Amino acid sequence: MGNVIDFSFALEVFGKLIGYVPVTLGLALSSMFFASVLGLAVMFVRWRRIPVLGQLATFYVIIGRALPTLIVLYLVFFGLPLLLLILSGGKVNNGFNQISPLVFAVLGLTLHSGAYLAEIFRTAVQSVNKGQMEAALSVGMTSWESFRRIVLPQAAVLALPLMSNQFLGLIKGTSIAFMITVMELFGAANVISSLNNRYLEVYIATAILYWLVSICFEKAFQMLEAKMSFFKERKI
Amino acid sequence: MGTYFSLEYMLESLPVLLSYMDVTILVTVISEIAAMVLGSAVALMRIHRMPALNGLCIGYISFVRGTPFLVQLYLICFGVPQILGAFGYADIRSLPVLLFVLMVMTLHSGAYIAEIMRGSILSIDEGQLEAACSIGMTAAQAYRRIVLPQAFRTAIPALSNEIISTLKNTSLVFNVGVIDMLSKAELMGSFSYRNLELYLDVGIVYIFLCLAIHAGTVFLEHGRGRHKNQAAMVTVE
Repeated sequence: MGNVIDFSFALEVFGKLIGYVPVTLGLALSSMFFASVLGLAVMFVRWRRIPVLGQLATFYVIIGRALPTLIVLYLVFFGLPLLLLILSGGKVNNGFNQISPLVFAVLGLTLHSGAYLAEIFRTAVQSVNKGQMEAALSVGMTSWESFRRIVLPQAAVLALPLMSNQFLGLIKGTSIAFMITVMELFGAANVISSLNNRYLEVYIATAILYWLVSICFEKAFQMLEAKMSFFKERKI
Repeated sequence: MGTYFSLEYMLESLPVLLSYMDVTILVTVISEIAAMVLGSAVALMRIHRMPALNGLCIGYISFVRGTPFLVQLYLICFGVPQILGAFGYADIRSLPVLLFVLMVMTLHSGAYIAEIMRGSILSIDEGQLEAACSIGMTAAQAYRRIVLPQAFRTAIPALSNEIISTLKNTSLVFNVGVIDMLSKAELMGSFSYRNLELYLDVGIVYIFLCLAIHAGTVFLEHGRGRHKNQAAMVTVE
């Protein structure tokens, strides 16, 4: 049994890998932030049925949810530089090769989660009672005001559990970013394991780290939900 | 635009990539069927709070849901050979990688399906089980004939989400050496340097597969099924 798991090596790896947790979290948090903004915009456009943008948004939501994360990342990573190249008129040294892969990773993950979040926001807004919007309009608010002040806060409470699920999925999704050469937790684990030719310890340490992060966020979201349930519509 | 993006190449490589679709579908179908069996078993263990198994199942579900699929894939595909190697099975590489991939996919999907099935089994009225037992069925019979068919029916939307996410996860298996659409795209890309066109092709295939699964679910959901809960229709006079 002695040479199956090398515990001192596992501990050493664990210490090294902890340093990469902030990268993973940073990726997840920034993508979540941008994806929320994107999702909100897409939802609003579809909700108000804005002519061309509305159809585009629906198309984006369908495509974004049907593509695997890896393919979205690849398309961004390989496609975007090409697009920049075309837009810059074919100058090869226009600086896009200096862009960090982190930027592409955040962009790809944002595009991926944005589609899911748009659907989550849409169901949340739809499940807010229609009378709320009508009442807000009837007291003289503009439609934007009544959306922002009345509908959105109520929808946010409804969307919170689904958003927390999406965020937990996103934390796990960041592991795919290593495929486009981002050095986050999983990328670092790959490098360490192939340097030492020991796989079991490294991946167990990685799994435990991801697990801990997930559990922490899950508990945090549960507490937040308990707090937010105060604002929930109560059936009388 | 022509030199940067070749529509021709994209079109002519689509059939080549399509010929590798069978691996994707095979992995999805086999692992999903196995995962449904595993998931239902785990769900039943949790519902009945079987002494040691309940705790084990909670740990299993929490682990799978808390770690990325890629980590699980690497852990099994690279970790298990290390364990077996230490016990003297040196020719582990002669086992097909596909076997490991199927195992990981089943275990991964099984945990999610267990949660889905737990919810849907609990949503079936308890009277159904009691009625089945009261006419002399054993518990196993009652579950297999009465409760589980109804539970699967309720779970269709959630299960289809799970199948779609498994399908998308298959895009990651080329990391451990299974040749699927994406790894073929990668291989072809390293010859032609036209990765974007190939990835677009793969993306299109995935979109169509997802839409097909979605259409299948809508059909199953709204079709006339034997196990549909007809209580709602009966009560309306």
